[in-house]
Amino acid sequence: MNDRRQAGVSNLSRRGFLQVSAAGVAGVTAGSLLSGCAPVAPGAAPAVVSSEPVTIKVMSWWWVEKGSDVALRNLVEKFEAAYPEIKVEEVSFPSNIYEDAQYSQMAAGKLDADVMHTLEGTGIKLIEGGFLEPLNDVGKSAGIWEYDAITKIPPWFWSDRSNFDESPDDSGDLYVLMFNTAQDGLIYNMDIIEQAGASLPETQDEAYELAKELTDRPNQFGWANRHTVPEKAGFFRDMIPWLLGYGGVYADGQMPTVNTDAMINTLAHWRRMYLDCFPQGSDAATFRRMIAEGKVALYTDNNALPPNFFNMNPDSENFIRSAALPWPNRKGASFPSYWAWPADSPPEKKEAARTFLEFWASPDNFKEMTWARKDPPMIPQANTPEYLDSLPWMSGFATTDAVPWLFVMGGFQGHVEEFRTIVVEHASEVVVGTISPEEGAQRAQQGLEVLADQLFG
Amino acid sequence: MALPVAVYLLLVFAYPIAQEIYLSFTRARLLERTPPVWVGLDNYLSLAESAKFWLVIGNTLLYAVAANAIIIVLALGLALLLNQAFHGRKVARVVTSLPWAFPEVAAVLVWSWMYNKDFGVMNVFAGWVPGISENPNWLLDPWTAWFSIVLMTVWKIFPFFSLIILTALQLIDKELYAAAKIDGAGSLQLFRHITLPGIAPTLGIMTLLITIWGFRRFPIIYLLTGGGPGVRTATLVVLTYITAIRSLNIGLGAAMAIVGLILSLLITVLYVFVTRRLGQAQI
Repeated sequence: MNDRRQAGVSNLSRRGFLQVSAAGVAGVTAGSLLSGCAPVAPGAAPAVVSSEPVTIKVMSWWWVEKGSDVALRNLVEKFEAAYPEIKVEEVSFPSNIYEDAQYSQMAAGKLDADVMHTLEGTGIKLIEGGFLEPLNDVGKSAGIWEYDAITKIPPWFWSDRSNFDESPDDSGDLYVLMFNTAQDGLIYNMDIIEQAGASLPETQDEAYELAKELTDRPNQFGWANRHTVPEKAGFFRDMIPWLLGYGGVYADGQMPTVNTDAMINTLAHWRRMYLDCFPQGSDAATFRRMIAEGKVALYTDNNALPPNFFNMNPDSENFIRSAALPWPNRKGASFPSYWAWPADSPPEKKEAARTFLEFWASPDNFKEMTWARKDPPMIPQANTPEYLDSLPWMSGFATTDAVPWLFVMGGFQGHVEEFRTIVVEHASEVVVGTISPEEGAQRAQQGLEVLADQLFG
Repeated sequence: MALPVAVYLLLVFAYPIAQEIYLSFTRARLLERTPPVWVGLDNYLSLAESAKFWLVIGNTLLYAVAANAIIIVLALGLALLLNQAFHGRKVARVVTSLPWAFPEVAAVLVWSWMYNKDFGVMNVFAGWVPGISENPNWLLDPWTAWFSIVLMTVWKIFPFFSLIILTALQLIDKELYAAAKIDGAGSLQLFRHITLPGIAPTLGIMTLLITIWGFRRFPIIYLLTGGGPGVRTATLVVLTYITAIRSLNIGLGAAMAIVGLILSLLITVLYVFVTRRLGQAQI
């Protein structure tokens, strides 16, 4: 993995981290993007062609995510007041099945949306399947073209994706607009740690020992991460920082690397955490509620999670904090999320959707959404000292050496779903002890090599 | 008159099945632009050589047999009970049919909470069983996961089955029972010589139907365990979905679907054969 790929935010102050908050996606140099791209006035919106009321469908998990739901509905209310000829219809799936829903719709050949949120792995499939419309003009006319919200978007979302190592060319098309990025850190319950008189772990083994010590089932759990097949995407995702911490990746180019020591160590770690620390069988919705209620001591996830806990239980803002990931290389993943513009809407809806996207992306509205969701600021207008000081729980995430998570996938960036299906099939057996970590890793490797043969010949 | 029916059958049944059969002989990946490539029997041969596939076939048969056996026994018992005259019978009939009326996905979500190892109510019942000192890992240990799936399936399906049997019971001529009692027949004899033959055709066709439905039952298994750990609780329809839609291997998934279709057809043929043999034996 080259340096630019994983250039991150290590050694940055909290404020510095927030100022380059697309951190994990760093590595994509912006200069070449910017030449000749003069933005038009912020907030400027094109006229909607039809005079008839048009209803656009906006697909997002925010509709059903506490905190984000209010933020998005407020934005929509403002939008509908500004553009009475356009109505917004909600299309929602919870985040844990959001990608599943998009895959199913892609498989059916039609997306049930005129504007939508998307994530990295699905985004590539959407572009490759011809489902998305370029968003260059929207980013420029909204007035955010020169900001992190654009410049940190990784190369695989630009039209020329022939070489992922190269910076995107501003003559190419951009298929998504980033609305935030999140990066991994260690989230912990300050009260539990202090009451135990413990110090924060700095290695994987220390993390396990501390979590085990703090586990008192069913009243308190030392650690929580996803570990079941129904939460396949989350299971696969939660292992990523640990895999990076042990010095591994899921694939190197077109060669899967899940039989390495790093992956075996990750699987073995998941097994011991399952045995001694996890709330066994609990899904993310359940254990996140437990975290918000102060019943889980430690947890690895990204900086988008604490605001969710605060929405579930406002008191949790007093005890949830973040710290450096508990391994020496401090590597973790970053997870950007995007708006996308489906290509197959009828023309009048497409124009209305464009109007909505430009409205959202105008700096004032972008800032408002950032603050409402407690996101790291992607545009300078949202990056004020008062705002940054209101996020005391954010500092630990700044210590992470963030790697855009799709780089962990090597050449399988467009095949995440197939890849993780195989990995989780075998990892789930390791977790419950029906096979050993070594056997699980070997079986997954064999399955993935067959997949690689099918995909790449 | 026959033309619209023929067109309907062609469009809704024949074409999709023909397309599925064609895909099962190709290497085709969902969401990719390359057209399917004809590979002959490769998909079927790789299934035949796959230990995972045979494990899943075994799971499918185990699930169908175990769940059906319990459903039939419980449904028959409940139908016989509800066929008796007692105060509040109508209310009892409504209440016992509620699980069947409950939306399946919502029911699975409730049951998955009931099966939580630390907080689920099922732990209370497990505590009553001698020898169980720890909460079972209901959905993660392969055997308890199977038990959990079968239990929920039975809860969901048997009320419907019992309503159908109840209907069949009520169609039996009451005079037959009166005459048999005058001849001195006891309860068991009444059941064996009047009740059972009276409901046998209904029992037969319903058993066939729930067997076929069992082969294609998806939400309960997929939402409770996802077929895991590994594929230890996956049935053929779950593996087909994982292969075709999650792993995007539509060619191999189509081959699995065709195997499932053949299995269902075989069971139907077996049912018809056994029914005819029994009918001839009775003549």
